[in-house]
Amino acid sequence: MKSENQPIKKIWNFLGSRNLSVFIIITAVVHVLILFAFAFLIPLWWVEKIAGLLPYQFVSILFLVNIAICLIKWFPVARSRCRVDEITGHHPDSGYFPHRIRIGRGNVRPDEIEKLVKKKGYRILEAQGNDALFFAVRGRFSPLGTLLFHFSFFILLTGILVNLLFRFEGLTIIPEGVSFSAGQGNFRSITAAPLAKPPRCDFRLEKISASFWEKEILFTSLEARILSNDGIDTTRLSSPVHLGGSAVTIAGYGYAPEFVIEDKSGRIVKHGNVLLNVFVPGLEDFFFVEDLPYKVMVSFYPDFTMSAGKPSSKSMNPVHPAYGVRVLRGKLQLYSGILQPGERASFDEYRISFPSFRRWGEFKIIFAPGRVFIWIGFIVMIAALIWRLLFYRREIVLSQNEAGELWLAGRFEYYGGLNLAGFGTGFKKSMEVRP
Amino acid sequence: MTFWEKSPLFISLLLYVCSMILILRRSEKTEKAGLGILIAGWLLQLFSAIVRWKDIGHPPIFGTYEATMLGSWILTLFIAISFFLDRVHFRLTVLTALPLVIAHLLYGLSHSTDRVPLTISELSLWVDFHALFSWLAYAPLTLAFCLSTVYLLKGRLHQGAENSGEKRADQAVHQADQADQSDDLELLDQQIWRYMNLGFIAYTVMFALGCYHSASVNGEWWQWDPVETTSLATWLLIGLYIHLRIFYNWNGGKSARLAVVIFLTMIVAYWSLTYLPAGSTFHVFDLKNKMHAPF
Repeated sequence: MKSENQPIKKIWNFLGSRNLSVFIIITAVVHVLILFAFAFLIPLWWVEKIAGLLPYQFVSILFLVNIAICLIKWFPVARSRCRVDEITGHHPDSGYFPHRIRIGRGNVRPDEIEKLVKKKGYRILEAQGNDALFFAVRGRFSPLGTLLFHFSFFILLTGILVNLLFRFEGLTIIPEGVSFSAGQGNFRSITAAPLAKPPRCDFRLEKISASFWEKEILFTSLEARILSNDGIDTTRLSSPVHLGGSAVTIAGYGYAPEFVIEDKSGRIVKHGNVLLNVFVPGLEDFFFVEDLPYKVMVSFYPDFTMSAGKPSSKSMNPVHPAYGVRVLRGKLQLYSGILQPGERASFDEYRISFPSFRRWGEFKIIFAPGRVFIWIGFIVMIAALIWRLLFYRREIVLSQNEAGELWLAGRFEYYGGLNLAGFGTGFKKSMEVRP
Repeated sequence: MTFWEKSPLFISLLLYVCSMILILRRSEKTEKAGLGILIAGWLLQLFSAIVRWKDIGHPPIFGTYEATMLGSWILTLFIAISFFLDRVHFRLTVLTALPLVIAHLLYGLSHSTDRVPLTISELSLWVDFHALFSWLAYAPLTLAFCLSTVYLLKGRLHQGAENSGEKRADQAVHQADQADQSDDLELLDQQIWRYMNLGFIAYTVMFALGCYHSASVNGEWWQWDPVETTSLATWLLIGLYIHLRIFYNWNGGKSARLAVVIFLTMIVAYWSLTYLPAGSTFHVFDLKNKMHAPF
């Protein structure tokens, strides 16, 4: 029976070993630097694909297995280290307290030192007959911070797994003044995890406002005001609105020109707004007129001007809009020109005009229930780090030798010499101090 | 740059140089005077940043010029704090780190100082704090690097003195000197460790804030953006440093060399992004170098 368990025990010890931990970290660094090198050669989405390959998955799994086994192995040890008798059970002259300073002889009292030590945030522990006057400790439970930090990876993992199963992301285009309800058919594109469903997310797009930097195609602000059951709210690219557990953010912008087609008598034959990709001045998009054999090519100049005989835009702000229009019947071009609001173009027995436009927004609606776990994981990670690295454990003991000299000995998890120097400085003013 | 932005900045540069000269004069009085001048320079740099902030309407964190200003300002803050945290090595810290502050300032000033607006993906408090913590991580790791190089140099000299084998009449004094130097190196080593730990905490906060912002803007917490990738490598290396110190007593020269490697990785993470191909990173700091996508 014993020999059957030996290989399992060996594997267990190996998987939870410090050597493996260090090996995994080094391997992870190498893997990550390889991805960085790839970033110079291939597009980012290819880098993401490489990061999902087997070697990377293997290192991640090994990393988590190693942490899990280390947590199981080290939890009892860390817990026992937090016991009071772990500190008070040691003799002041034992090697347990490696740092020592002589406080004085006859010129100071132990209770004065006790007061100073308490001021530094230490908790006094009673000595238990091992020649110590008192013990003191600060950050007694700090070793648990290491366990908590490593445990936080599993909280993050939980969030990642929940998202892998339930995450839903949908892209949709909504013109101003139009209501939206999240149903499968209402999205232009969907990325859904195996168990994901469209979230409950209903709102009406009231208004989109955008401003640009000088003449550049660069937004300085892009906001969408939406009305939902929760009231009116404003969503921006960098600060989504949360509706029904999902995050709604505006991710794109464009124009939906209003077109009017009249016959020769002035009767409106066709009328509507078309969602076109004409955001960049001069970029052409098209639409087909329903029940009529025409294809209309449109480009949009938000702040129209003529520059060197060519249509152009002075800025990206739609203050003086104009449309570059081409009307085709099959391959035959019937009309080509610039139309400003109020102007009409004639072709065959019809006339077309673009009296106004609406803005449209491309909205990203993301439902990611793992978000909460990821957020908690990060908070726990940071709190544990601060607890462990800033509030680390410090133990001191005050004793008196046969000559009546008072000695302060300390054991500090980190920066022993610096802590000792700090003590020396602290006591310098009130008593004689010599290392 | 306006007059009220430019002048305090150039004066603070001069003050940094003056403070360095005073602090290195090995006298307690001049050291304190130098510290005072250093703090005065720091306050003037802060004033310049506030003026810029007021003019552009957002924290000055965008573009190489603004990033270096913020980085140098926080580095100077840490240098000043080291007077109280690590008085023994204050002069060494000033000798090695203050020239870096000056170099940062000059590097930043060599870039365009035009006021550019934040792109909409960066109009967020999360980004502001992400940038702040990135420099709060940068500063202690830079100080760790500076002290590590000093450690390695001192270590070599110490080793040379030990190995010299010269017979000295005052052998006892020589041995006491050697012991003092050993103690000093040990304290230096521990100070390096302290800075690395501080950097690790700030780095982790930076990650958390950056990941959250990425999730808000792109819907993804992590995207293997090259800046994220090299930052992760740096973070893992600091983790390795801590593990090696605790598990294998990696102190002294070995950990100092690792601290230098960590700093170099961090430099790549922070400063290489302007040399990356366009579109390969979401961290666009310089509009002139690289046109951001419309969003």
